[in-house]
Order: sequence, then structure tokens, then C-alpha cells
Amino acid sequence: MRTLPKNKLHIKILTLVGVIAVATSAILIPTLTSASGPTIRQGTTTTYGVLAATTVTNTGVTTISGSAGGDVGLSPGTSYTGSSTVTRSGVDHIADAAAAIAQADLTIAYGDLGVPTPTTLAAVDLAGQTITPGTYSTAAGTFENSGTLTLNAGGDPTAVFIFQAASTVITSTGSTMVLTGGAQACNVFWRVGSSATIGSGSTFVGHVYAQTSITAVAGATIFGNLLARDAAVTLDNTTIVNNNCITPAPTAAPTQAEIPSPPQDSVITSITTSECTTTGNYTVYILGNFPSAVTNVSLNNMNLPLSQWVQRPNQIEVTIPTSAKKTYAIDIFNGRTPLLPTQLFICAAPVVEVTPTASPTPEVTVTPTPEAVIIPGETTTEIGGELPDTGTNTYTYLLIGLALLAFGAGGFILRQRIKKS
Amino acid sequence: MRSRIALLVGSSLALLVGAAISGASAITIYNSHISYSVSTLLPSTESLDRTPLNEGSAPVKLIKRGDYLGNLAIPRLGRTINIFEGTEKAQLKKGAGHYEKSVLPGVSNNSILAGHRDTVFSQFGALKRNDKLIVSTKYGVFTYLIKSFRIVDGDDRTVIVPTKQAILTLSTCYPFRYVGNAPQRFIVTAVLAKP
Repeated sequence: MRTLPKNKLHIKILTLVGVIAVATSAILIPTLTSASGPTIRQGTTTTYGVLAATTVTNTGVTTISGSAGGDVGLSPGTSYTGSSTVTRSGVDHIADAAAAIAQADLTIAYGDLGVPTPTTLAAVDLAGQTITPGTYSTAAGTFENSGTLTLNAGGDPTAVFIFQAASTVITSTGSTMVLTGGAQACNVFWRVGSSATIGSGSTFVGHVYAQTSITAVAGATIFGNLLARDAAVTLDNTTIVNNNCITPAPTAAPTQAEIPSPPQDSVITSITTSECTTTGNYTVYILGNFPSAVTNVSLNNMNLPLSQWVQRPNQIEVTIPTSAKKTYAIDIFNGRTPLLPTQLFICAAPVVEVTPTASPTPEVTVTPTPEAVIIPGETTTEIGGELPDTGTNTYTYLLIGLALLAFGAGGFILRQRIKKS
Repeated sequence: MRSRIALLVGSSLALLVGAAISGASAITIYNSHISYSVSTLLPSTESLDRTPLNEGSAPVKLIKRGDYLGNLAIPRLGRTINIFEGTEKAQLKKGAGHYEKSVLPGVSNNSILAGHRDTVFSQFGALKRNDKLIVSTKYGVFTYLIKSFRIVDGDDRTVIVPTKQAILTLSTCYPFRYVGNAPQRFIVTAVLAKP
């Protein structure tokens, strides 16, 4: 090996130290939300289905679940009414340290969401529009949805949608939001300058970060979470599904326009359900790889209305209305052919038998076990885990120490190289 | 040749110092995760002079900076922390520091204790509302119940304020995991429990 000139040695050492220092920092500094989009530091808010400042008020049967977490948080207020009929997969953090930290994290996330410069949309009402990834506002400072809003990620499952409302966001009764082109609810953010109202029976997609309050009118379904900084969150027979992003398969996801019609192999990896009760709806999550577009879904050989199922990347969600019958056969169709073998689903039991043919449902009597809550993608419970703690300057010293170690190691390696030459 | 020797000396020094610093930091971080044994939980007041507290009057402050005041037990964290008078580096290194311009624990006003987020006041994120904080001083054993948590800027002037009730305020740096001087403070407010 040739001898390096002295000044090049220094450059090499400095580079090595720099690289290792950066790598160390990358480990120590908390990871950020999205790699491709704007930086949104969600922090500990992600595990909360609901987070409020003054009160949380619930009426009726509310379900909070999802792979990201189903916590209910309140800080600094202490009044949580109607909690007895809230079923949540996480824990309650009422005026505790964790809730205070989540509120502090919410402040950071709310700030981050205000950073990207928005495109000003002409219409306040998003109904009938197809929105592509980006940041949006309106001149009026409000958003409404009186019909169907479509969010099209254009084939990029990491694409981020940010809606910046200077004042309110209001969605109408029965309104809905549709995700296409690989768009994921986890990447949709609503920064609400005052209050958000989610219409009765409507479907809402995204994380709601409201300065003041959030009201979910009777029977609304939210794919995301409801986080209020200064005031209350009001729930009424609400369903909240707070899922993590699903990491896309290595092959590039086809865009909406390119979804191929020739059938490809569909695979089911797991099937889970929300809690199965005798009242209200519940949801079956069929996770796997479904390259073909689903055209219709049948339940016990009856076609389900479009409102009761949705195809997402790597997931099909089927909402089943309550019935005394506890055994269901679900068929998923691509055109006329069943996409997959019949899914025999037993309410309240997480185990699903996959029968090889689309034969009629055998009668199975199962005793319901309503306490079991299964969330898709959830392997271990992190909720309520111990928060990491560090020193006033201890972590700084650790970084300095590691950098020095790297520096020393670099020096020795260089010395060896010079010796060889 | 000279540069090789310089390199050897420099590298060795860097390795030694680096190992020492990162090792010490690692030990500090590790220690902050150790749960204390249950026996240390019980507030020990045997060594303290039990001068009875006069009815209706605050204890007279005859304490100098650096004096040992007593201890603070946090049952939720399984930990008992020594309290020293003063909130300067020297006291905070040894334990929790009692803010000199505030009343002593047990008095009907706001008593403020500060501690490092990485040592004595670590793991505060696990605390819950109504958790007990038990302060033992020579004036008695005082049980406080945590009522609220908040995160404020480091220059907030609403924390160190007089109160009518007997309040115990704990303050530590926030974010807990911040590299460098943390810009915020994590504040725990507890109210003296009625006996």
C-alpha cells in the first residue's frame, strides 16, 4: 500500500470520526416519522386513540383499537366520563406523567405539521375531490367533507397528506374518505386550528391534531387518532382504529390506474378481529398480499354493501353488523371468481379456519369470549411501557466518549496501514 | 516515524479517555435503571433529630446550604432519595436539592425539590396521579399525593410560586432523553395528604 501524504491522513481520520459520530447520533436521536415526507415528530402520541386536555366524554359503546395503540389520555384534566362503555386495547392515562409527556409531544407534532407550505385549495368542501400527496389549506381556513373524499397516493405507500385548517374541520353525516393508490391512514394528518367535528356515521381517515376540541358525532369511524391540545374530546358510539403503517412489500406497489386485472396469487398471512360483542359492529382484518382488486365480498353467501368492506394495501377489512349468529363465512371475489378460499370466521374467536373450497358454512356453535381483543399486527404490548430516561449531560458524554473511541480506533487502523506500507 | 509515534500516543489517549467517559456515562445510565431494594423504601428517620413541630407555626429555618435534610421515598419507583439543602451542582450530585428560597416540606406553602433526570429523578415518566411521595425530615414524615404533571419551559416563572396549601413540587429536566442541556422542565405537583 502506498504511503498517504500526511494531510490526507488527517482528512481520513476526520472522515472516519465524522462517520462514526453521525452513526452514533443516528442511534441515539429518536427516529422521525417519515423518511420521504416532511418531518412530523409524533413522539408518544402515536399510542393514543384519544388524547385530550380538559375532559374525555363518551356516550354509548366506543371501541378504540389498532396496531399503533389504543390508549386514552387526558392531561391536565381529570374528568373522563362514560369510560365504562369504552373498550380500548391500550390503557388509560388520566392526568399521569405519560399523558403530560404525550401532550408535550402533541405540541411538537402540531408545530411540525404547520411547517410545510400548503397548496391553497379553491373549495372548502372536499367531497368529490381526489387529493394527491402534499400539504393543503383553504383561503377560508376550514375544511368540510359532505360526500366522498379520495386520497390517492399514486402508488407510494409512504406518501403523506397534510391538511392545515386555520379554524375548523367539519364532516357531514354519512360522509366518507377513501384511500387509493397505496395511501395509508397512518400518513394522513389534519392540523386543526380550532375544533374538529366528525359527522354522524361518517368514516374519517387520519390523525386529528386539534388546537381546541374534537367531537365525534354518533357512530363515526376514525382510522387514525383524535388528539386535542387545549380542550375536550367527545365520543359517541365511536370506532377508532389506530393502525401503524404497513411496510410495503419490496416490489413496487402498482398505482391505482395500473392495478392489473389478470388474477395473481393472493396470500393470507393472518386474520384478526376487533372485539366481538352483541351490540355494534365489529371488524375482521384479513392481512396478506392481495395483488388483485377485490370487487365484492360476501358474508354467508350474501353480498355485503360497499360500505361494509374496504381493500387496503396488504389488508382487507370487513365490517360485520351484529347478529346472534356467531359463525360466518366470508368470500372475497375478484370479478366472478373467489379470490381466496372461503374464510370461516367465528365471532369472538381469533382463530380462523381456512377451508379449501367455497362450500356452504358448516354450523358451529361457539361460546363467545368477549374479553379477547385482537389487533392486527400487534405482537407484543408496548403500551404503558417504561419510558427511557437519561442524564442531564450523560448522553452528551456518552456521545463524546464514543466519538473519542472511534477517533482512537481510527488512529490505530491508520497506523497499521502505514506500518504495512 | 515521528507521525507514527504521535499517532500511537494520540490514538491510545483517545481510546483511554473515550473508554473512561463512555464507561462512566454507561454506568450512570445503568444505575438510574436499578430498582432499589424494598427495605430502602421505608423512610428512615431514626438518625434524625425529632424536634416536635409547634402547632400552627412553620419550622424555623436554621439550615445551611449543603446540609442533609432527610429523604424522599417514591414507592412507585421503589426508590428513596437523600435531600440536601440547595440546588447547586454540589447538592444535585449527591441527591435531590431543596430550593433554598422555598419552605421546607411539611409546611403550608410550596416546597420545591430539584433532581437530575438521569439519576435521582429518573424514570419519572412512570409516575401516576395519586402516587405517594413520602418526605422524612427531622420535623416529621409527610405524605404527599401527586395531583398533576406538566412540562414547562426552563425559564417558566409559574412553578416557584407561593401556595396556600402544603405543596411539594418536584422539578427535573425534560426531555428526559435530550442530548445536551434540556430546554424544558418536567414538574410534578403533590399535595400534602390529610393524616
